[in-house]
Amino acid sequence: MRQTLAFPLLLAAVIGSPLFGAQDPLGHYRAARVSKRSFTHTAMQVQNRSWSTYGGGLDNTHYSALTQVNRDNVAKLKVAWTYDTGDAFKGSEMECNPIIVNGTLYATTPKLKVIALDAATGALKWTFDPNQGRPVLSKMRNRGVTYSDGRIFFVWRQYLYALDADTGKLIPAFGEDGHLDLRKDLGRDPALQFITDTSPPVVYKDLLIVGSLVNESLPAAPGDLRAYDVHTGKLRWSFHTIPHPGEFGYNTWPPDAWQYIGGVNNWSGMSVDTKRGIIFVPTGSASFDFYGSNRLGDDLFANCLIAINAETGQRIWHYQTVHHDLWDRDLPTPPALVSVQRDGKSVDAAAQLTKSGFVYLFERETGKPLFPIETRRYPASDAPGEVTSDTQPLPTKPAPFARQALTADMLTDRTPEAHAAVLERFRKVRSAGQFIPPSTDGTIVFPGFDGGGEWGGPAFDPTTGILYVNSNEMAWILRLVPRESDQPRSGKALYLNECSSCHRPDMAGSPPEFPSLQHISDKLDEGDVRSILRQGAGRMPSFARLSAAEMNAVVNYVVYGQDNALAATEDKPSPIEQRFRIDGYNKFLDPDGYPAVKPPWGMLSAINLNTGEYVWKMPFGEYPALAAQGMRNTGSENYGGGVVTAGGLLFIAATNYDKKMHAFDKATGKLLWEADLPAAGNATPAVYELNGKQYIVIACGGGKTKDPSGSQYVAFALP
Amino acid sequence: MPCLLVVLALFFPRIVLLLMWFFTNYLQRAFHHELLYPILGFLFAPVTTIVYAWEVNNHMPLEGINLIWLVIAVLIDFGGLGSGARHGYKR
Repeated sequence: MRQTLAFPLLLAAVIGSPLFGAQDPLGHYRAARVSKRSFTHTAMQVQNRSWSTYGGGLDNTHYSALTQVNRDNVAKLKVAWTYDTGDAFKGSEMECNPIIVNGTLYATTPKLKVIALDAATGALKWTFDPNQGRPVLSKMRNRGVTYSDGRIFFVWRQYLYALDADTGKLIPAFGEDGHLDLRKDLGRDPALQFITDTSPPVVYKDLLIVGSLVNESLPAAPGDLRAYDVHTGKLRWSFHTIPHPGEFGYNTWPPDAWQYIGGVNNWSGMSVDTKRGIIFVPTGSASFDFYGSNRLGDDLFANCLIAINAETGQRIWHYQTVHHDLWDRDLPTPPALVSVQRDGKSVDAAAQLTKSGFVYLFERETGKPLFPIETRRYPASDAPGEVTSDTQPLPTKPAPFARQALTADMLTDRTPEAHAAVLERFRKVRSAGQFIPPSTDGTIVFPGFDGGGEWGGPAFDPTTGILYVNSNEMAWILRLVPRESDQPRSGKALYLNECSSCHRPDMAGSPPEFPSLQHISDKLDEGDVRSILRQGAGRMPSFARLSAAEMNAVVNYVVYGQDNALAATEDKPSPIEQRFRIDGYNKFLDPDGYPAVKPPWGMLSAINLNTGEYVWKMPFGEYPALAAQGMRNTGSENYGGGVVTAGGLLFIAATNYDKKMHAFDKATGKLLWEADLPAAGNATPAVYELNGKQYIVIACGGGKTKDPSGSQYVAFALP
Repeated sequence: MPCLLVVLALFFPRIVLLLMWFFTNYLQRAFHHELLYPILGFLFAPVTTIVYAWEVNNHMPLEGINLIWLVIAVLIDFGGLGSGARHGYKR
């Protein structure tokens, strides 16, 4: 931003000088007027007609002022161009919301290369491959890149890269030869940290502000929010999301927790109020997610929306949506910065979605809730050592956009066999709505760990005050199991303690999110497995902290099934070694793989934020196989967001199984147009205008079902 | 050779700008393909335009020594304008 303004200011200094005035007062006047008008015009272009920032703008409203494609002609939309990255592999994803700057589209591929395309034709301009020829063995997740003053910023593994936007070459003046190592400056040994980021950083003035994705089990890096000089990469400020001694919120943790607890990270992106200089940062839960005897207390700033002074990193206000989270209720998306009507006045607000299916609405400057929030009491945990919060907050309005409690009458009746199977399992677990403590019996989490609201985020129409939310209604089962011992002394014991929470004790995993490790030697050799353990992959953290003997023991167990004993050590008990782990991330499904609950399984809702009332609400997506049997409009899991336009449309892909791009009438929810995609568009579209033509482009990466993953960007336009 | 380029830029900045425009994409990259600022720069602040384009193309932060170069360029452009004004006055 500073660089963008620099030249006009220099020019104004020359033109505005007395010497210049002496030469030509009339010319001075005219030049100044032209310059000002041009600058305003440029700013408007960026705001309304382009898509130069993740989410369509730093306000994350997913709004486009373009009207060329509208209710009357949307049925004529055709594919304008496609670009195949050629990077798809089994289980790969492509969740990128592309950005378009000066006619170039910047995006990432399933193998996390950065590509620059001609936004009018889809022709490739350049590629940057951070893998440098190394094979990509597992899923790499990325949701976008950041543009600022001729540079592209993005995160690959633990590195934040700065590229020349015109050439794709590294910018040597930034950080260490063009990149930063995000493991540094955390106050812990960098070599032992696992950290990356799936959402792109934001730029405010000359600051590049970066969140993180870290391990959800311990050990985990702390989720410090950090701001770097956008030109040099020098660290300017850090905000400790796990407060250090003397900092606000420190007393909501055990005294030494700041040294061993991790997480409380901002993985879902952030929004910026550029007028006020405030960044709005949603955070995730503390690690370990599901059992917190070593983090007793409310755990500030976990599960918070934090308003932070962008220039200084100082907290302005915060609101904690879950105290002492034990359900992985990360805030899943950056808030939409909106304006709503209250008592005849326009009030600037932040609308924050939650995984549990609520919309919080806060006044931007003070954090005052704009709809009442009530405090409810919830039962205590019976897991030894755990102390849950007595109360949790719940907004009273708008009503939740997802069902809140799973009861027996809500179980699937798709077939009698399916009903019987899920009923049998349901009777063995606890289910009573939100905030029922995790247990060794098993506890229903509904909506599930992925929401409810999810990372795609909402779209907001500033002309009507309506918020559009796509959501999921899947139940998951959370079950605590005792850890084998404090000091695992064999390959199998290490596997059970370190790996089984995701890959399950029998190595079956929960594909495709958590892959099966059974018969892994058919797909990967020992070296590949060792490499993944060292580097991490997708959501899987690095296990580089394991000793050589421990690494060998785990590899031998996973690859060859050999349970090698390890020599005993005399290490002192560690605060991160806990009594419980979980038995996996388990969706509650029927024996045929369909959701265990009755439909709808995915929803699309339009909520008037001025009144808190629903304008319309309907199932979103379906399973083609069930639709063919006559079971339609079930809704389905969907990931990625929508874009609302001044042309009266809501563009959204997102649905996992039917793989369609949709355009709905934003006023009524009526489906006006849809098109088949080569793979599910689990991403947010970008809407932009170039050379007088409006385009809608979507990443088609799939990867969330058993169907083959995709690798194409598809752009639509009127013929 | 670099000294020759600096001398050319100082004494014939508009010619250098024209050469840059027609034979490189230095200006297009510096001004993000906008036309207005290069034209205004050509007319009113040619040396500043050259220095600014050089710094942006080399990804140099606009602070510290780089800012000083820009200030010097602005002063040179002031001087050129002032000289023109004095000529006009004398005539």
